[in-house]
Amino acid sequence: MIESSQWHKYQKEIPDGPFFFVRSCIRQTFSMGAEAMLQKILKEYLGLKVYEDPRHTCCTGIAYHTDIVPIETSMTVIARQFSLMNEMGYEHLLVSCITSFGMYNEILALWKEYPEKLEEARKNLYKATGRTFEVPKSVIHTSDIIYKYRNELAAKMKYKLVDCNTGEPLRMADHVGCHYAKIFPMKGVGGAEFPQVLSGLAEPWGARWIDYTERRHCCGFGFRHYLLQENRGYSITHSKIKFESLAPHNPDLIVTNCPGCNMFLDRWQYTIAEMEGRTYDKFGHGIPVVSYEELAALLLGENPWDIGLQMHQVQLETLMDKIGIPYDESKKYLGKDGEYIGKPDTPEILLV
Amino acid sequence: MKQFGYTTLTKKSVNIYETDTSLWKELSAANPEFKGCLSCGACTAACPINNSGTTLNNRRTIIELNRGMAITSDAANCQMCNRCSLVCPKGLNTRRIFFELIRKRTEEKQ
Amino acid sequence: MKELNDAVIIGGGIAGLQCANILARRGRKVVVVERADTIGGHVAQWHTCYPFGLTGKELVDKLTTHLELAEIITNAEVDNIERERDKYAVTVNGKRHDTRTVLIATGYNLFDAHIKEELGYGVYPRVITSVELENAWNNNTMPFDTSDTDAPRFAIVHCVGSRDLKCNVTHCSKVCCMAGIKAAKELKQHYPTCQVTNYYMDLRMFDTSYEELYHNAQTEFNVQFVRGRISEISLGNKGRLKLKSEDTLLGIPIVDRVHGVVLMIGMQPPATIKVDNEDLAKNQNGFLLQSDPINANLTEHPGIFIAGACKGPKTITETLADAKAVALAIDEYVTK
Repeated sequence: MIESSQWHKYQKEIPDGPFFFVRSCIRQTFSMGAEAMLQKILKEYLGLKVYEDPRHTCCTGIAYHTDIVPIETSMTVIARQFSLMNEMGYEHLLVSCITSFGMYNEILALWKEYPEKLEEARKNLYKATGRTFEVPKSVIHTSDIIYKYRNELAAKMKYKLVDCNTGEPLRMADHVGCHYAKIFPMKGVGGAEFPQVLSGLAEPWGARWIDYTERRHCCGFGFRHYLLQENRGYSITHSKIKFESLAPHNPDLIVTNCPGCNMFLDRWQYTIAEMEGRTYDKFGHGIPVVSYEELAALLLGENPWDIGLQMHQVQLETLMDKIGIPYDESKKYLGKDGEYIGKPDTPEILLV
Repeated sequence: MKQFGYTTLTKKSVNIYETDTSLWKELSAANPEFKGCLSCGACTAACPINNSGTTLNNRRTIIELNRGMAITSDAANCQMCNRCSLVCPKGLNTRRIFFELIRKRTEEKQ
Repeated sequence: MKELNDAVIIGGGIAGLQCANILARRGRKVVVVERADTIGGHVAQWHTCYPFGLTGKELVDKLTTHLELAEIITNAEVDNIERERDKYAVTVNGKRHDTRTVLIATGYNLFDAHIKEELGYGVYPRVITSVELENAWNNNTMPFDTSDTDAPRFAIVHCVGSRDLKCNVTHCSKVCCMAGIKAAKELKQHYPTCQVTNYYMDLRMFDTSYEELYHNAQTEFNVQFVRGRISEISLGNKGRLKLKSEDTLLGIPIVDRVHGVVLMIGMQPPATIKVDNEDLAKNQNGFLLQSDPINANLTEHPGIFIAGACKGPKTITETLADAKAVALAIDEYVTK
């Protein structure tokens, strides 16, 4: 843990709810199960009131950042989310995605700075849907909640981030999404330069947190970098820079709080292995990448295949073996109702 | 190896903590005056060879040697006219840097 | 009738002491008011002062030869300064002091290096400030642990809290260029096998003997100078620190890995002083404004003088000269 007086000023107030929950497009697509698990943790393990409205939509983040939609569209869509929240009687917005978290905060800051833009959004929303809205009392990211209740969760956990053979704490690296605190440092636990939102989980959950040189570097999920094939070299290079900086520390896992970072740090390990014939761990399995809620669910004793861990590129069996979490290999590729959903191809270099 | 239509890019930055500065140590021990270079660039501005489109650059060469980086000037281009030393505010024998590099290369060849 | 002082001097740093010493020697009744529990200000904690090589303590001692004639109040808070016709009433720790003149010599505040978050001060113990380096030399301790290497590398980062609009600082703190090179030489003397690199934006060697110091550091001490601002300090392997910058003279981004970093922290304006409940006028950098182009120590209030680094960053030499000038100005004012 970082010991310093200065970073403590970046301690945001995290309310206890009740929360109006908005989903992440990327997390739903690539980490099926993660968001369901997240809601289970919040509702069942922590007893928080979390409501998810089936009518809510994408925040437009990806389209906005790639210049596909103008900001007026984003403002109207976000205004509609707020309107739904008002209608259901909630005041605290709980965001699952870092891009969305950045979007909501950016739009709110814009409205605060330019009240005429808020009026414009009100007008546009009313014209389009007949709805009105008020801004939320707070915008909270789900990793903030997990951070807030890290000790409560630790008490309920069946497993610790400890090597079951040696008793040594596992080496945990973190990567915090850029739009979490780099846009508005006061909106993140620990600020932009030395975020604590994930590193703070290490100690109560039994791991040893490792700092590394490129901790603050982009994961490679820069929208303009990966969307076009011509630019994708930049994206994968960013990930490579991070892995090269991480490799000497021999991390047992990387924890992320951004759906995009989670996906890119995971999938690019396969691509780099195919391109350059190398992996960044000792045995060729790659470095496991998990999000905070996947990790929490795993340590709480949830079934790894219900969390959706089989959807990861870098397989998590090595990590589960280290911790001593039992899993049933035969059920790995069974769907919700027990039907076989098919096994993906095996890559040549990255061992699965 | 698979083709993806894009590749990883090579890092441009130089790790100056692991460069080889032995050549600088050797040259600056024999010519301590080089160490006092202020990087003003008067030498390069005066150089007729630099001005005729080559990469020959006294100022840059001294820094590259000092940092242990790859030398971008081709010392063989230097005509030894000594205009660089004439304008040096610190009175360094800036021409000598190329003279030394050429001598070094000749020694290595033998 | 209440006792009337000739001057109340707010600030017991070298400017205040120099002025008090001169006035006391000339038989003037002087009160020195110091916020801290000892006099000497920032200079008292410097290990060596360039160019004369005195320690800060020795220098302060030279300024206190006649101070037994003056009243010195330490741990003092100035509550109020009020004008009463041709004199002032200064309330210090609740007690009133009547005086003909007041000298503001409150010096400067040090820049809080925590604010430059990307430099990791307060996070990585191997990142220290120039003040902590002086303190280490004062205490005869080595500032950095280099037990794991024969050839340590150190970096000195210039302009931390100077010329930085993001920190609301537009001014140059003036002395850090010289002090940074002095620090590099001292590191080299204490760690003979080390390599020191100074990361600067400009080297402003404005005073006599400063350019010589620079030349000497280059040629005798092999100190490396890189023109480029550090963008980020992060943790490297084995507890070492990685510094990113661009070598702007080559146009190449570089990464350095070092055992210790010294941040040359700049000078910030001192706390506000109020006269008749109004702030004294400030210049564009937040330091106190001199109201007259010729007489460098005057303010808009007759009888209130300013001297030293409260007017803007100053070297020790400049501060002492300024304080001597203000002593003359006060003496003349009181005689009149």
